[in-house]
Amino acid sequence: MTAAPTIRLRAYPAICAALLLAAVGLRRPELVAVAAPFGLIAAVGLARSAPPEVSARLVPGELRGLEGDRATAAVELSAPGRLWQVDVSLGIPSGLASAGGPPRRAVRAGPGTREVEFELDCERWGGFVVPARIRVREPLGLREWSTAAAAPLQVRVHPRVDPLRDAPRPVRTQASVGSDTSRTSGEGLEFADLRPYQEGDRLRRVNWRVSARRGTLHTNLHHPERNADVVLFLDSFAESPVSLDLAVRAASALATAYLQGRDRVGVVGFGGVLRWVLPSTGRAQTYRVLDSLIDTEVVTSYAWRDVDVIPTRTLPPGALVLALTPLADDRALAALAALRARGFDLAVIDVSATGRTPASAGELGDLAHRLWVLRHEGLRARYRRLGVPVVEWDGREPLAGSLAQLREARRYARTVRS
Amino acid sequence: MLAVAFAAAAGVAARAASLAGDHAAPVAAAGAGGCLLVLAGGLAGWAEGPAWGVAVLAGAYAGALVVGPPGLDPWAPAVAAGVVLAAEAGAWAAELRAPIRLEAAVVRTRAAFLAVVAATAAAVGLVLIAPGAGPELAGPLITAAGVAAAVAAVAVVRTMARRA
Repeated sequence: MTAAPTIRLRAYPAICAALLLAAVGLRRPELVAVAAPFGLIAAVGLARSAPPEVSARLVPGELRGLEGDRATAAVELSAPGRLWQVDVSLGIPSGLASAGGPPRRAVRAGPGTREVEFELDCERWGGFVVPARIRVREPLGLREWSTAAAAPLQVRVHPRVDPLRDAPRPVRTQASVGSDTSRTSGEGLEFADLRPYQEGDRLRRVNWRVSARRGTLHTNLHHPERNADVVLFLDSFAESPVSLDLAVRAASALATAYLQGRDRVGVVGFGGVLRWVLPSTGRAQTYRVLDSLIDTEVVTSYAWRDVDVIPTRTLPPGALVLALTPLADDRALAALAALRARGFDLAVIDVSATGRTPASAGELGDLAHRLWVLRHEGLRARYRRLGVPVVEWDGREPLAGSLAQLREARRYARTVRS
Repeated sequence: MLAVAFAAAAGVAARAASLAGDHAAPVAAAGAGGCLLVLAGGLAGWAEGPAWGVAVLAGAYAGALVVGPPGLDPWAPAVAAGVVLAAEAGAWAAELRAPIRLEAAVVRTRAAFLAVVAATAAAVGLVLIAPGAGPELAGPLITAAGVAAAVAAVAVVRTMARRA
């Protein structure tokens, strides 16, 4: 523990000494009476001053919540003896807020353990570290002893997103069972076609009505239900926090929707720092993906990166790559073009929020804004020419609306290709 | 708490001014300065303010003793209690300027501490000046000390009985 002297330790001996000198010099015993309490407090306080035996830890050590939730954390104080006053404080980072008053409380503690509870409002998504400190005040207040809690509280706040009913479906499905109707024929529920009976066909698949009409046995073919691989490609080169916020919100909603449909979802954070989560499925993957998304941050970098730096396993063949990008950085644009050239099923959600961003004041500001919007429109047109559907989402309308546009664009693109 | 500190400081300043007789004006000005320092410290969260304030108050009282009547001031124990109370309550008021939620037990304990410190200061002052006081002062002072000792003895016995 670190000791810090208070003003009493400096002032009281000085006041006492000055008054005693004045008492002697002026021959007034009354000043001794006035000086004595200060001297007594200083003497007794110093004699009794000792480092307090107290430890603090945060319980639980990790909290999870959604934006808008209220989470409760406690600082557990353990002390073998009674403590006069313990100030417990939390260092609340931006994005969290203390509910019900300041994040600092003065309590009595010991002997034994006691918990001091704090309520935190999760105002914005993100991963936060909340340190706790305790300060023990001595009874006579000459010194204060302070220390930090054993480990800071880790708070992970996931973005609150509207659930998606219908996310864009991948063109190609994978081998595992899922909720996507495969284009191939096999065991499944969705009717695909009829064919003449072959040896080994199961009797219950015989279509008796058609067989009776045609005079020979015919069996039904079905589309099997399969899962798909989806890779969320987050462009975090851009320096706009609005774009990153939109990208993370959209990616969270998409990841949750795909994982609920038993698809395999992976994440590639393509920016100053390259991050990825290998495609997988299940509840644990939901947390892995969401944790990866909320840890995404814009890191300024001037190093050139292309698609070769992305580990191969993060982009399985036949995966749908959904790129969430503000279409601002040439490195991300080149990587997306390379993915398309390699035959990946690619779709782009533009989170540049051009419609939400006002022009700067003045003629030059207006001109710059128009040029910026024109450049974006040019880029979108360029991707569309490559057969990549592009939709814009600026956060003002529900994401489902933009995804509906994306589904329409992908249906049209497939029709053209075939 | 700031009101308690200011009231205690104002009491000391008033006693000093009344003791100063013909020189009441400069002593009262010094006392007012001390009160203002205590007040400013409490209002601004300036921990040094109350300490400087009581130092100025004590200086004003010393000045009043110099220019005042030569006899022993019978109010010296009350002045000692007032000065300590102003210092402690002012320091607490300065602490409270930082946003903090106080548990009721902490408030009770610290309020009791203030009362005990003020009472102790008065008692110590009484003990220190009683031997030098004349018979007209020593009599009541010693009687008061006896009453305080009796009350303290009863409190000690009660505490021990509770613990047993």
